[in-house]
Amino acid sequence: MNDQGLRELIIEATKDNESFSKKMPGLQLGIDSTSLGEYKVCPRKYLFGQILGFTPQDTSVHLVFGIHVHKALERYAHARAHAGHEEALEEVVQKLLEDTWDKTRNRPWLSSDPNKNRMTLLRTVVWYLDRFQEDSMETVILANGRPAVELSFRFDSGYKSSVTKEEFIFCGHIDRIAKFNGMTVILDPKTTKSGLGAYFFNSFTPGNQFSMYALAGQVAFQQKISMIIVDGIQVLVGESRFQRGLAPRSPEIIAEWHHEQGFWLAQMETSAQFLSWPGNDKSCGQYGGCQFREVCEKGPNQRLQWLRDNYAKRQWDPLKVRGEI
Amino acid sequence: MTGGIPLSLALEEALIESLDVVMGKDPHGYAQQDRRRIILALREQRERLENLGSQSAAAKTKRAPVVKADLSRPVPAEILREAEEAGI
Repeated sequence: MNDQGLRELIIEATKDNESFSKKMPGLQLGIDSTSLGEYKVCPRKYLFGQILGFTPQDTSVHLVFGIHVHKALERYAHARAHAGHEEALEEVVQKLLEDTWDKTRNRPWLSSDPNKNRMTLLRTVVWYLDRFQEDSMETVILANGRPAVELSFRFDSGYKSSVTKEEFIFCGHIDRIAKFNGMTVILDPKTTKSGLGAYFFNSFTPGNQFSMYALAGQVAFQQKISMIIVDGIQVLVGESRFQRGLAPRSPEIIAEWHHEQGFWLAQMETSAQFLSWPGNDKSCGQYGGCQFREVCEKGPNQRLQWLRDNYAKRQWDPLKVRGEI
Repeated sequence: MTGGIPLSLALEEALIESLDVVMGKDPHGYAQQDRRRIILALREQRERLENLGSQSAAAKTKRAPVVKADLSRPVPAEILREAEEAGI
């Protein structure tokens, strides 16, 4: 595809997407950790998924499962403000069952994954909330008097496009900020099929997502974050296991991370400026294999048609608050 | 055992089957007892699993070899002397 064709395609794909510049097609200004991470992994993967909005037909069951778990835990935190554990749990279970009911087909959500389906979702949430209902962490109260749960954030990254002069905004969503052993921490649940050993917890440090969260804690919520607590949730066919782990972020590490993002934002701008998102062929086999591997196997002129024929479309707009996406 | 299937497994299958029946209904018409039934069934599953885990740990302890003598301690001098005198 020539540059003109690609430009038109990008304009069409991002015309209603608030996180993209209207001055320079393909320049994302509202940057969440997923978009940034995808660009770092492979610019072409980022072009296909984040800019053009292609996604595998069978929306990853892991993504759906993770979203339901996050939503259930958020609901529980809200419900506990006015109810005890049992009542809150019932409310969560009811909503979870409704959310996983396909109204049009009048049947439950069907998943072909033996680990991640409706039954294991319910089991995981009930067991998790039973176990951590009275955890020792106290939710931080923000300056505006509200508890620090379900926090959508956006703040000026401190960087601007050198071409359009528009500001890059960092944005995302934090589940909860709490006090733990005198430290201010961010809590984040992560589901996995794999074991909850050191390998799992070490994979978050260094890590793009939590570094952005720690920075957001400081800048957007005026909280000095020194640690992210990961609630590891292992979902097996016959059981769910839980383990808490730590992902430290010192002020020096956060400052270094922020400084280095200037490089990556400049790279993103260069890609948009020259309509060039090269593939990173060292990433094709990472993370269980790239979802666009079969596309890149095709010749450059066949890829778009292959994407249209075999992938679904969705819009990735991180400036929309959670629940709208 | 029930027809070759371990009892715990048979119970679990029966439980999942009944859960499947409840969860196969449109949740918009759920009564409180439906929700309670699901929660309690999931808790029972967890308890049974924990019990199986502790039984298996106990069985392992039972099977552990019994130490009959502490071979790391030095043999008392008088026993060594008696053995020497006896030509052992």
